[in-house]
Amino acid sequence: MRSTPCVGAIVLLLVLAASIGRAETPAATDPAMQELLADAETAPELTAALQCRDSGDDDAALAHLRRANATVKKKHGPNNLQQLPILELAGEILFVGGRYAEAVTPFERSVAIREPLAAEDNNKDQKVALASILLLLGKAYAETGNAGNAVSALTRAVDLFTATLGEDHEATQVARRALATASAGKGAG
Amino acid sequence: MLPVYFLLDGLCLPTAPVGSRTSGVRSARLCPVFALVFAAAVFLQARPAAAQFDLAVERELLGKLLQDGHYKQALAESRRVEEALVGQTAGTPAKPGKKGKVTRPPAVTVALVELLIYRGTVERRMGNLDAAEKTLTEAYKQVMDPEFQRLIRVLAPADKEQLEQYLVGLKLPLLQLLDNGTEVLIDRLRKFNYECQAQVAAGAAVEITAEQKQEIESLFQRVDMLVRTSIQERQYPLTVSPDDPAAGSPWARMMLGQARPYRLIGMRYLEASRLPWTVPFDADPASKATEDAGGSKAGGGDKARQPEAVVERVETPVEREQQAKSQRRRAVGYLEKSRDLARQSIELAKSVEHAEEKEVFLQEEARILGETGIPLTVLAMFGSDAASARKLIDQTVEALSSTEQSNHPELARPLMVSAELAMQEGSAAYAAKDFVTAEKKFQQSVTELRRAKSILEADDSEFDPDSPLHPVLADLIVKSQFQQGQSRQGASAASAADAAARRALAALARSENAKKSRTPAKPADGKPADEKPADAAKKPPAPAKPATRATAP
Repeated sequence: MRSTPCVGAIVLLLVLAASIGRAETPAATDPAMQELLADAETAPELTAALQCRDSGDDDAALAHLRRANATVKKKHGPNNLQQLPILELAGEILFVGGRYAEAVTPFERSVAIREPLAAEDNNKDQKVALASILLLLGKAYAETGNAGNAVSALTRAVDLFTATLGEDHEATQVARRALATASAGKGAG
Repeated sequence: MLPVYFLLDGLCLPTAPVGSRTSGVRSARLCPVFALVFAAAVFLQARPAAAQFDLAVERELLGKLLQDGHYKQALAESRRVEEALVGQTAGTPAKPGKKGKVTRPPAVTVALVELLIYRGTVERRMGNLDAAEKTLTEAYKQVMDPEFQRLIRVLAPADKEQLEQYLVGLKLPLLQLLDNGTEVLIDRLRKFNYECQAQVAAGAAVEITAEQKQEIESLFQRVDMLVRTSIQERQYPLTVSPDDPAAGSPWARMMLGQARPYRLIGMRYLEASRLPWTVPFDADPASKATEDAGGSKAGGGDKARQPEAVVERVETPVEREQQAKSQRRRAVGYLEKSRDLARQSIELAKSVEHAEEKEVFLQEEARILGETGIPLTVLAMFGSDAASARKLIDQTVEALSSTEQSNHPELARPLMVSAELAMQEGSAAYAAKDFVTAEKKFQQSVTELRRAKSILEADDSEFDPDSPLHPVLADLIVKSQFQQGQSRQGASAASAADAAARRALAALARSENAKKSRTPAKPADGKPADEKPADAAKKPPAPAKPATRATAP
């Protein structure tokens, strides 16, 4: 056996890394995500963002996402499907990092893009995806004291989850509890 | 009988670096080095080289250090032995040599050459290719020194049998030098290919200057020339005596076979297939060597080293891919031939060797198979033949694990290749919605990468801490973990929609956990900590909010 370990291996590893991302990532059912990860220009930024996020460097992760977003906007124009994985990943990072006010913007943009898709009949995946983002958006609103918007977003999330996944699904129940809390906050406010 | 001066005169090594190394494991066997010194000392009746130290003991020590992967110590010890050897001969008066020039007994020069090869090997394995090249070039200079060549001619024994052993004793380090030089050059090519791929992975266009291209093609030419010479040198069979400690050793028998140069040709084609362009002279070096050996003197002459006439034209991506496929086919062909040759050598050797040497042969076999198994696995992965790749790499890891210390740095590479393959397998399983298998495969990848990382970063591994390998490994571990998490999530999701919902739930849970960890303990005065001016727990404002800004309408 031999060799300075691995330079040879590295070449393949990098190729593989790209292809792996291509296979599935968050929101794997999104054709947009698959397309984005198949793009040699955006895939490295996205994978780097994931790596930074996992290592706790949120700002670096967001910087990578910003660059990826700029590339996508340049190629496809604003408000396009390809932005969804970037927006949602950015929103999640901000949300988990407690930066709720900042998380609102990417989530709102995502919802705006997803709404027309979810409006189509029989598009269960899109409806659930929209409900999932609405749940996070509603929580972000609630955390920033915007109880009115929180209730509105969470109500939609509950409706969509119930219609698609059923009353007993964990997501439905979590959304319902969040709605109850937000409603109480709104009442108190 | 091939006279030794012919053998050495025919050695047309490149003007710049000659690298050399025994493959990692092989070099650990360095045995012929010192055995050769003793043998040569007997034959040449040279002045004994060891007055203040025992070469046999040093040999054991050096071999053990390399075998255990203690590279820095191996370097230090080899330098110490070098100095001792040189020091012992420093006062040797010039014999019939040039006036005023110190004449070293050839046995000592051979020992020095072998030590340099050893050192070059260690440096290469530490990832320091420049140092390895420099050291091995020095070894080459020692071999090509006119006085050394004159002496080995003068001192060649007249007796036919003794001459043969004498030649074998000289040929072994020469072959080591050729093989190790080729390995260093191939490592350089691999590094270049890695850099190109890293640029692609980073989303940058690969820009190669004419100068770089020329340099790379020059490396390939040098590899081809070295391999041709190496094949030619091995085409003159020598009868090795089972009684001779150097020539009759299992290592020597393996070394004199063609398995090693064929392996190097296979690796050379693998690297050629990864280049962004096709090298214009990409002819089959083995065929050339055969032609040269039949028609001209050893080394092939200048004509054989000339690249074929090339008309410059732009290669289309389709053409490049076709060429790359062809190169990969050749790589597979040579590597498989290397394995066959190794097996044949072992079988032949087994029939004449003593029973106690059987184990040594089996270890040699495992090493050769391991060395060819890694590039063959990579090639199978290129061909999307995951099943063959898995079989090959499992055999390789098993073979090498049986011959190496459990934490030997050289085990890192097969582990990484196995991890790459597991990632590929995991991705395929994920795409087929087989989340359970996918998770297992990504788990395997994470485990193997972590083990490779721990091997390379062990305190005593001495692997170059600045090697680009370290961040790449760390990056891969993160990616594997991420994929594993995805697979786990997928495995628990009844559908894609369910998975999307669970992802949101996971984000909520992470947010809650993070919130708890951010919430400071209530201080004694009853005020929350963030109401205090010097609030250490307060998160600093985000400097850029890049994603938000980037995605804002």
